[in-house]
Amino acid sequence: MKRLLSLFLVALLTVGLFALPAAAQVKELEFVIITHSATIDFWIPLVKGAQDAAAMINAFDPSVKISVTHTGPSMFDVAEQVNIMENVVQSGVDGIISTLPDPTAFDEPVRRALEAGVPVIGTNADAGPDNPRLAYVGQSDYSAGRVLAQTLIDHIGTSGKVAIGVEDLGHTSLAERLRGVTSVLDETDIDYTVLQTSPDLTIGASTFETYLIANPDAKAIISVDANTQSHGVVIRNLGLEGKVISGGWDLVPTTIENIKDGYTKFVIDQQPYVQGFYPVLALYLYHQYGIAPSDMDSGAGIVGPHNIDQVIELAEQGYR
Amino acid sequence: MKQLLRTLKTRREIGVLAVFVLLCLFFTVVTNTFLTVPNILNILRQVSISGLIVMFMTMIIISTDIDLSVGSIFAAVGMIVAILFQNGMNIWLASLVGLLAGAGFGLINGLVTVKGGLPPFIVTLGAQMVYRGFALVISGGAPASVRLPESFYNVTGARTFLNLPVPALWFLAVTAIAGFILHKTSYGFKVYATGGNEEAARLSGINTDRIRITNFVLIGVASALASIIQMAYLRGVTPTAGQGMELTAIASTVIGGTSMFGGVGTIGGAFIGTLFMGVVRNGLVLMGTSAYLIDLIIGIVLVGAVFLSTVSTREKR
Repeated sequence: MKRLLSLFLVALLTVGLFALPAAAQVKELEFVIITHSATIDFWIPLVKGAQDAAAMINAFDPSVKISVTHTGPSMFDVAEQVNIMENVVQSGVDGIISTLPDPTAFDEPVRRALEAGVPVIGTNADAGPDNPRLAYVGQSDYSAGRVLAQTLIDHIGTSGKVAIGVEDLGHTSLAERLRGVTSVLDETDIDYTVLQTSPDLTIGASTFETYLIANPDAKAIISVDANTQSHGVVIRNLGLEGKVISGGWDLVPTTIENIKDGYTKFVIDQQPYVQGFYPVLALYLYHQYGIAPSDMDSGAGIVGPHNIDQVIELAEQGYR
Repeated sequence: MKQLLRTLKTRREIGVLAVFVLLCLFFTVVTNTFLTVPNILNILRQVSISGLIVMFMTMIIISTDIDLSVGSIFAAVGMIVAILFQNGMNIWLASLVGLLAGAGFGLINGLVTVKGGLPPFIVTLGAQMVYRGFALVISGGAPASVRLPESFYNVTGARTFLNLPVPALWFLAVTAIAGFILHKTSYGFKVYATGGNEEAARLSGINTDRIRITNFVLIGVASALASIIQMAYLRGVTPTAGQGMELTAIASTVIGGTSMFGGVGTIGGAFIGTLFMGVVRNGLVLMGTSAYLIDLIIGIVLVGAVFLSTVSTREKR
C-alpha cells in the first residue's frame, strides 16, 4: 500500500513537472480598438494609452502578452462601424474597446460579442446604460458641455453672438455636448447659432468664415469637436484677432498651436490617453482574475494659455 | 461543351466570378475564420443593405441612366418612418408610407430627368443634396432611436431559424425578383433595348420614357426598403446614414460586369459584385489590416477586379 502511494506520488510529481512548463506558457491576448472615424489624429493618444498599458502589463506579468490594434471606418459611419465590429468579433479577438456613437445601433452587436465570449468596453462615446457593454470610460458629455459654456461666459460675459459648430450631425456624444452648452447659454442673453461644419476642416473653416462675415459683431466661435482646430486659420484670415475668441474640444496639435498663438482661449480636454489606457487594464484584470470592468469618467480638464506649454510637451510625446 | 465554353468566355460576370473565387481562396488561406458559417452569414447580412440597391442600380445603368441620390433617399425614408413611428403611427403603416415616399423620390428623379431632358448624373446629384437636406430638416439633425415591436423586428432585422439574418433573406429574395424582372419579363427586355439604342427602341414601339421613369421609381423603392431593414437592424436611424452609398452600389454594379455605357449587365453579375465588396471589407478586417490601409486596398482591388474580368473575357462594347 505504501509502495503504491509513493508510486502515485512520483507519478503525480512527474505529471506536475511536465505540466509546469505548460502553465508557464505565455497567454496571448489580442485587444482591438474600434473608433468611429479611425483616420483622424484625435485617436493617437488613445491608442498610445492602450499600447502603453499593454506594454506595462506585459513587463509586469510575464504570463501574458497583450497586443493592441486600432481599426474603424475612415469617416463617421455607424452602419460600417457595426460591420467592422461584427468582423472583429468573428476574427476571434480577446477583447474590444469601442466607441459607441449611437444610442441603439450597437446594442445587438455588443450583445453578440459578449455571447461569443469577447468582452467589450465602451470608450470615448457612449450609447448609454441600455447598451450591454461591460463598462464605459469617457467624459460625461453633457456636464463637459456645461463646463465649456461656463468658461465661455467667463470670457465674453452673458450677451453677444456666438457660433457653435458640430461636425457630425447625428453623433450622440456631440449632441450631448451641444445640449450641455446650450442648456447654460439658454439662461443668458447670448445669441447662439448652431453650424454644421463636417469633419472636413476645409469645409469647417469656410463655414465659420461665412458666419463671421455675416456677423461682424460676433464674440466667439465654438466647436463641440476636433474642428476647433479650424478656428485659428479663420480668425487669422479675417483679421479678427482679439475681437473673436475661440474655444471647444479636443487637444489636437493644431489646436495647441492656436492656443499658443492666442486665438483659442480654452479647450476641454477629455484626456483620451486615459480612454485607451484604462480599458486595457480593465480587460486584463477581467481575463486574468475575472474582475468586472467598471465605468470611469476620464475628466474634463481645461487647457488654455495658462498651462499650454506643459501640455505641448506631453502632446508631442502622444500623451495628451 | 464547346458552345458552353464559348458562352462562358463572352460572359463578363464569369471573369468576375473567377476573381471572386480567387479572393475567397486567399482569405480562406490567410485567416482561419473566413470560411466559417457564422462569417459567411455575417457577410451576407452586411452586404444585404447595399445589395438591395445594387440590383436596381444595375437595371438603371443598363438603361444608360444613373442614380446618385440613393443614399439620401435611404436617409430621408429612414427618418420619415422613424418620426412617424415615434409619433404613434403603426410601424407597418409607417413603413408603407416610407416605401411610397421612396417611390415618390424616385418618380421625381425620373420625371425631371426624362421629361426635363436633363442628364441623370446632374439631376440625381442635386436630388442627393435635396433629399439629404430634407432628412436633416425633418430630424433637426438628431438621430432617432426606435424600439420596434417584436412582430415587425422579426421579419426585418432579426436573426431567424438556423441563425439566418433576415436582412440577408430579403436580399436573396429581392435578387431573385430583380433577376426575374430583368431576365424573364418583357419589361426586362425593354430595359436592355432602351440601353442598347434608345432611338431604335423607341422607333420599334417601346415607350422608353416610361421604362426609364419606372427604373427610377424601382430604385427609389429599393432604397426605401433597404432603409427600413437597416433601421430595424440598428434600431435607429441617423440623418447622415447612407453617405457614399451610391458609390458602393455603383462599384458593385461595375464589378458585376455591367457596362457604364448601358445595354450590358446581369443580376447574377450584380449579385457577385455585391458579395465582392463585402468580402473584401470583411476579409481585410479579419486579417487585422490597419484602418489607414483599408480604403487604399479596396480601391486597388476594385480597379484590379474590373481589369482582370475585362481582359479575361472579351469586352462587348
